[in-house]
Amino acid sequence: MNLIRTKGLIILLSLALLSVLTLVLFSASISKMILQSQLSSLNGAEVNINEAAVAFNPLVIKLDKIQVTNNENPLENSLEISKAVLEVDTRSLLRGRFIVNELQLDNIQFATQRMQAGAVFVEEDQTQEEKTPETDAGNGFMGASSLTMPDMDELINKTGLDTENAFKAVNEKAKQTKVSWADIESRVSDKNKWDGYSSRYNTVKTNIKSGSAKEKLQALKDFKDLKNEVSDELREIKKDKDKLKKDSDELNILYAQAKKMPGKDLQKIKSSISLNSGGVANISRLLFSEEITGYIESARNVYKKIAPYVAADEASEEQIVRGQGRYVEFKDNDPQPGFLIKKAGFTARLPAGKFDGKARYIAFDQKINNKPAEIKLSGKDLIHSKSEIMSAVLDLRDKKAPRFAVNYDIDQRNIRQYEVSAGTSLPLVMETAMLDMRSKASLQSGKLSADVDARFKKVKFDSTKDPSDKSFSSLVTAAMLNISEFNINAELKGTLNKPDIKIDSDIDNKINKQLSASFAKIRKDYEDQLALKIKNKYAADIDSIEQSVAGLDDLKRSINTKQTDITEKLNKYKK
Amino acid sequence: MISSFAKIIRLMSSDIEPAQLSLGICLGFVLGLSPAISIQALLAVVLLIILRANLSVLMLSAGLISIIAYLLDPLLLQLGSAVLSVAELNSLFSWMYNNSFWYLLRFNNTLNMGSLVISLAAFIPLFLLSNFLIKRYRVAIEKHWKSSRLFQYISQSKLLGKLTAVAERVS
Repeated sequence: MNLIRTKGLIILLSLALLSVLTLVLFSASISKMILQSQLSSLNGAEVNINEAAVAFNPLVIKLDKIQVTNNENPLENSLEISKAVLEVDTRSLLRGRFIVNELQLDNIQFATQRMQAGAVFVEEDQTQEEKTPETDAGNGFMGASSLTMPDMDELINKTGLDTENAFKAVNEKAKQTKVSWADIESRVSDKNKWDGYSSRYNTVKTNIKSGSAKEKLQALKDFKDLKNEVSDELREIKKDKDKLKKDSDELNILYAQAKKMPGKDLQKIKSSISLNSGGVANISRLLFSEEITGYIESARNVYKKIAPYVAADEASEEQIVRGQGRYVEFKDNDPQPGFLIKKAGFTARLPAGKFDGKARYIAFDQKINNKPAEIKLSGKDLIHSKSEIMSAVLDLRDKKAPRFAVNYDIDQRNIRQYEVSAGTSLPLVMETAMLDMRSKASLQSGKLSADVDARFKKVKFDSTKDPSDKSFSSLVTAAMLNISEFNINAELKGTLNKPDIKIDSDIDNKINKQLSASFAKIRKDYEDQLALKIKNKYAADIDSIEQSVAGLDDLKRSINTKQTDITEKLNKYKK
Repeated sequence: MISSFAKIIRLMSSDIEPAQLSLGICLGFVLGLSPAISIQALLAVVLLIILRANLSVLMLSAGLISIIAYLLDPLLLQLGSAVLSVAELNSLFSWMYNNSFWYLLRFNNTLNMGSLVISLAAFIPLFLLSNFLIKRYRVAIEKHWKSSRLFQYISQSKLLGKLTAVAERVS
């Protein structure tokens, strides 16, 4: 009895040979099929590979044109890769592990259009997520929405001006003085009286010279009387002069005081109203918090995609399914995770320019190889900046405390026509600027910590604000237009969903300085106008008083002349 | 059911070598007991191709045993787990675990191991037993059975003839 079936042996060998030939000849198609399936499953949406080629020993898979459908927009690729080359560890593959020793991705592009819509397998989570709350834009900026200076006339009328009373007093004094001056003037200027004295003097002189003894005696007596009368007159004139001087001094004092009153009243008015700008607070927070909120939202979207892999594995009791058994683990001489990319290089063409990147140890089960995933992306001589470097580390070795850290540095990025604020109260565009930025962020066990240091140089702001607008916001806008460089430092703490954002910038101080200068000018103009108004109010009184003073001076001169004249005559009489 | 019974009777009575029938029974036993991807299943398929094992008997045997195997699942799992836990075999199993070929054959699965152990242990005894029983049937029972009135009645029965014809057409 021959139990061995020769035909069977031949069939078996043929089958084996056929399997090997199929594997060799159709490995590319099989690889393409498997990779498309696996990547689609991972992505939750269709992934297409144009062509695949496989080389053995070492196992190298080359893929042409990989298109990864965007879950949210099936007509768009979230990612498109022109060429991918993977060197796969064959031994690990036989053990059910996909270990890529080296991966090269060329010409990665984002958001490219698809010819046909890709299938989406996993619905996006439609549950309402807690939105990133609006960051507090800060207070104290637009509190004074308009800068209205008090009406001057109303202010003057409302405030009791001491100038008025002072000038009233001066006028009263001037009136009184004028009356007494009139008496003095009439006495001093009485020509008949003085002519009488001269005539009596001449008669006395004649009688003394050529008169009889009796006439001479009479003349002497008359002369004595005349001399006494003239002396009395002189004494009166002196008295009058003294009185005049006293009145004149008093009037001058009152006038001097009255002249000072407008200035004092101006100070009084100024102290009764507040003419300070008050300054601005947190303008940087107002202008830039929205931008920062946008970055946080982007970070949340990225984190949402990797969160399923970051989530800690829940310990679950192993369920033994009937007909499937349980796997017993033995000591692995070369422990490796189920999926690992040891080393990767890639080039990406972004709207900003060409970027080169490197990555290491990309795996989601990092406990086995005990190395965190690292990615570094850098671009030089880009369209808008000199260089940009991004490096990230994803450490999942301890799944209870996963850590995600990102550093992002920008050197000399040119900013053009960046709309800083679109609001009607402060429309502001950064026309040009040069930005240097250093930022780092880390998310560990759900706790966020981030620091951004941005330096803006050669800044030119522009605004559509009407320059004739005298509002407070207009002043702020004008102040900003004078700023040519500033720094911003932002700190974020808390969680990704509820970050506490703190923004500091020297732009607040710069604006406040500018505002102070602008406001000082406005205040000075206002005060000058107010002073002029007060002065003009009492101009007529001042003229009148000055005329009176001038008249007084004339009278003084006239009295002095008269006094001199009489004294000469008296001296002549004495001779 | 009737066609299977008829087939068994025909095979037992045929000129097919008992060894071939026995081999079919044993290989069917192995295939029915084991998961699809396992060492013993792979070996059984190879032996099926290169040896002259009777396919009909194999399929009958595999079908019957798979029903019993479902009921024996817990026992197989316990047995596999026990074997894989033997300290003396740990180094061997570690070597096999690190070897891609054995790893692919999933030897470290408790169900696989349990069914492998039973298959290995039962293969030769089952082969010998089947062989003995088939020979005995042919020698002792078949002759007596064919001379019995019941056999005469059944073999001459038109109903049985029709049923057999129908069964043959169906198979």
